[in-house]
Amino acid sequence: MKQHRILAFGIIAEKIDAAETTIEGANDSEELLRILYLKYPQLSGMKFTVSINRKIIHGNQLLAEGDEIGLLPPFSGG
Amino acid sequence: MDMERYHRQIILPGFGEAAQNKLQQAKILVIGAGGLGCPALQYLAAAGVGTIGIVDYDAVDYSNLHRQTLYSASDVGKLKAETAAKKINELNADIQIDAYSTKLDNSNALDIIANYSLVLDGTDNFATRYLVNDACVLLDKPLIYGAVLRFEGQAGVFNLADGAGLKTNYRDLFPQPPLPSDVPSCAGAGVLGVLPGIIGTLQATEALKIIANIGKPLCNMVITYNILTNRFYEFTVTPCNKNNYLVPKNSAEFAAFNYDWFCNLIYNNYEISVSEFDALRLNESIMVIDVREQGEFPPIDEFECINIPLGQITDYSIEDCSAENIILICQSGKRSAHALEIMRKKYAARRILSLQGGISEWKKHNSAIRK
Repeated sequence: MKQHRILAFGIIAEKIDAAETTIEGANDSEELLRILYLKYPQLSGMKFTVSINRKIIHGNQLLAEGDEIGLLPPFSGG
Repeated sequence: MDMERYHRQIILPGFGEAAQNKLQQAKILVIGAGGLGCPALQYLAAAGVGTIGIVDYDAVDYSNLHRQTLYSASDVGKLKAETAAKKINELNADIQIDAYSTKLDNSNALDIIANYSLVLDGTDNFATRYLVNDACVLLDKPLIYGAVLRFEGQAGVFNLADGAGLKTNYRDLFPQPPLPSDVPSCAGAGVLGVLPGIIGTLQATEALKIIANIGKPLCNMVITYNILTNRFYEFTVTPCNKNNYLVPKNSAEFAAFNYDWFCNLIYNNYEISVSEFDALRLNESIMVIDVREQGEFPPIDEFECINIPLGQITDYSIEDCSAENIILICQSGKRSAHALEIMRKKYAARRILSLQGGISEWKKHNSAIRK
């Protein structure tokens, strides 16, 4: 089963109480999010941007073994 | 040119009088004279940027002093834009400083920003961030973004073409604003003063690099920095084409765009997918409201929900409901979206969501679920 390292930032890292986690069994980014929401239901409804290997993605993308995923929420403070 | 004042930077390889001249000709607008704006203003003024504009309608508060280091205790109660202008004028009396003690909005943003060659975002709310972004796209001005929360910050450069001519903007990084209920309040979240100090200085650094044409600006990039772990990450921002229709195309559209509405009321920001709904059902703190008429088919046996038809939603109160998430469902997601708009106006602080695709979509994905 494919494993992917997930980097969490800002309020997402706070909600899952970790800066990093692992998701197993995802073949594409939409599947990864489905598995992520089941693992961390507190993330449901939150708006964040997803990156693969430090590049922002929009829409579904296939995942290769070893791809590093980033979850970037918007920051408001100034 | 004050050769003595700027001597230490003029002698840098790749800099010289040429770069110092460019700084003197430059006009930078700093929007927000708070945690990010204060350090940025100090360093831009010190470096000799010829014209600096400052926009802030707020007054100095005692609780600002731990991080907004341009201000001292005797400044509490004074307007920030004017006070900041006075302080950086003392730092460098040779530069022109324009203070705007005004709230930036659709009616004045284009006029103010048009006078400057570069904009620095030091604001503290999403509606203004999207507004400033769109104004910069419309007027074709590079925008230096910065934002902080607790121990982490982000910075980046938008609307500046890279070698291939590609320009991205804030809407490509965050196409959707967060739900207001998910945004910690400035007072509630907390921040260590050094964090906006670092991010604001990073923003000033990018401004100086762009003007002096040195180094590699964060063009189409965003960096994140965590002060507790010392981790820096760099991300490449890519265009999000499906959101381009939302960016105002001309000044009339810009004047008409309701940024508060975009951040607070646009219902499709509050729609959740079947996966998110199922994940939330595993979380105790939810209440599901079925807004279909009584007796509509198919019935829901698989999970608990209460039936409040759409026509009765206006009078229905959730004040005694302690659930963290209120999820509205109907057959296809249309009526629940309507119910969502009604309830959001009444209960702006509550986390109210609507199931996208409704029960039809849910049943398709969950044909074998038992309660």
